[in-house]
Amino acid sequence: MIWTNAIIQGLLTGGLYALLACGLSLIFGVMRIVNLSHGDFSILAAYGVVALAMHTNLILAIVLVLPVMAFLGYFLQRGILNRSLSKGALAPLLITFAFSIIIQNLLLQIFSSDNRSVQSGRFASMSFKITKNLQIGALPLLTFIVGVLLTLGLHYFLTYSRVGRALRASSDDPGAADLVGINNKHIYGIATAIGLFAAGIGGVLFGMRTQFAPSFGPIALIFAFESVIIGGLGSLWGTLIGGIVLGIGQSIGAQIQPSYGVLAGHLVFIAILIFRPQGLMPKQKGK
Amino acid sequence: MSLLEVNNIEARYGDLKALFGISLAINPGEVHSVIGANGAGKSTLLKVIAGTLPATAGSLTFHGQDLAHLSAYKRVRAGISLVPEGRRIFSSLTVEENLKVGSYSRRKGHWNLNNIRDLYPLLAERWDRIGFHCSGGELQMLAIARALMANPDLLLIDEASLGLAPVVVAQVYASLPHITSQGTAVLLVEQDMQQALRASTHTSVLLEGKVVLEGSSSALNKDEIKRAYFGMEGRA
Repeated sequence: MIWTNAIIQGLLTGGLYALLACGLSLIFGVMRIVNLSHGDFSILAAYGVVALAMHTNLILAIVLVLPVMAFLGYFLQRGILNRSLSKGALAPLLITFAFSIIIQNLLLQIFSSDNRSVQSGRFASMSFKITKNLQIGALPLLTFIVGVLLTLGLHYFLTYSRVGRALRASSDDPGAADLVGINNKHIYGIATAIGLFAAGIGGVLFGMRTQFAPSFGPIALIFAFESVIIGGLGSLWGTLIGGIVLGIGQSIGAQIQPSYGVLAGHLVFIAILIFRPQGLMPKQKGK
Repeated sequence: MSLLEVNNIEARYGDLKALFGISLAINPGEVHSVIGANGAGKSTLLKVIAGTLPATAGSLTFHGQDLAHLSAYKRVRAGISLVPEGRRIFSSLTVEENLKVGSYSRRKGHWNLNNIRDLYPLLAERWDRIGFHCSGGELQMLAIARALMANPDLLLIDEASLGLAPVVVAQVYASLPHITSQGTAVLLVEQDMQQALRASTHTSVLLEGKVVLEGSSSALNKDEIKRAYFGMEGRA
């Protein structure tokens, strides 16, 4: 029973990792940019909600912050990152590294290094009793559902919408996309907008679950990274599965010895890199 | 006024000058072929018209509008579509999705998924196959079909027959009259001189970045073309 519990809790945590990771996966998939500041944007969104929630209610704060994240993504891409794309792989990497440093120090200036959390009141401790030994927290359950819904939503968007198809076309061959009338720069802006929107959702749910400080971005990034790699680069469903595998790995590790949780997650990640470097659900050749 | 007027266009790849003052004019519904040896500047000319390579001198007017500052994706919206060398089909997208992406610019006109099925029945059979798994002939038809989905007024085709089986080449050329019957003009770059002359109303022969011979395809003298093609003017 303890193991079932560990697996279920890990599964639910996996939803959070998938949320932190799916934007990273999308941004890499479309532009081949490794966004080193992805975790910092998640934390930035969490702080944004903390700051706004002091003046208004939580739901409204979230509803206000997420579109701001999307706009921020679009303008950072069009204003800064797009200009770096023609200058090799290193330039965009360094720029996202700079974003990371800027965000961390900005948050440190404004909010200090004290731990904060997104206060969700009684909701944070609500849970459903399934059996005598198995309880499912409302927040982890919500996180998981949001993770699955976002993946599903992105899947439908990419598969069936005009702009979604353009995103995939642009990812396949930007030069050919140009020739069918697609403005790659705009499409890249949209990809980053979606990426930071998703990072924001992940960050807010992360902040509801645990305390955070300005320096927490890279930790969120590592979990996101591991989810993407475990799942297989460029595959959205793979990223969800990767997040779940990482979550279960951590929770089984923590069951063996509470301090082993994070370590166990890293071990799963390394094992995947050694035995299945293409990830669990890699993008098919040409797909 | 012609649909497209190319006036004294020059272009270069870095230090290497590729076009030395090319001029030509294309009217709606006509097929204009550009022939010439390897390196004569045929593909370069198409790139300049499509907007993927800037002209360093000269002017381009389309529907009387100057194209100079219009980037490639905006020229598609203006009505110029290029079928590029190497086809450049989106390999992870299905045939249907490639066609839908082709209509991204939302230009209205005759060409839609149904009419493409009628034009290239072979593509209709491959509807759900991803680009990566298509054969060379399928890719060429798909590339033309994808460009048509933008309902262009001017269709630029680079090397329509390159690397294709004769039966496929025949199918591709058989589709040209259906395309021009919608008023679309076609600018065709072709290695195969006979094929080009048969399919086109006008022909320009390029040599080392210049137009050395130009005229109505039926009126041009074969020997004259051969001399121009190989740069043997005055001799032979």
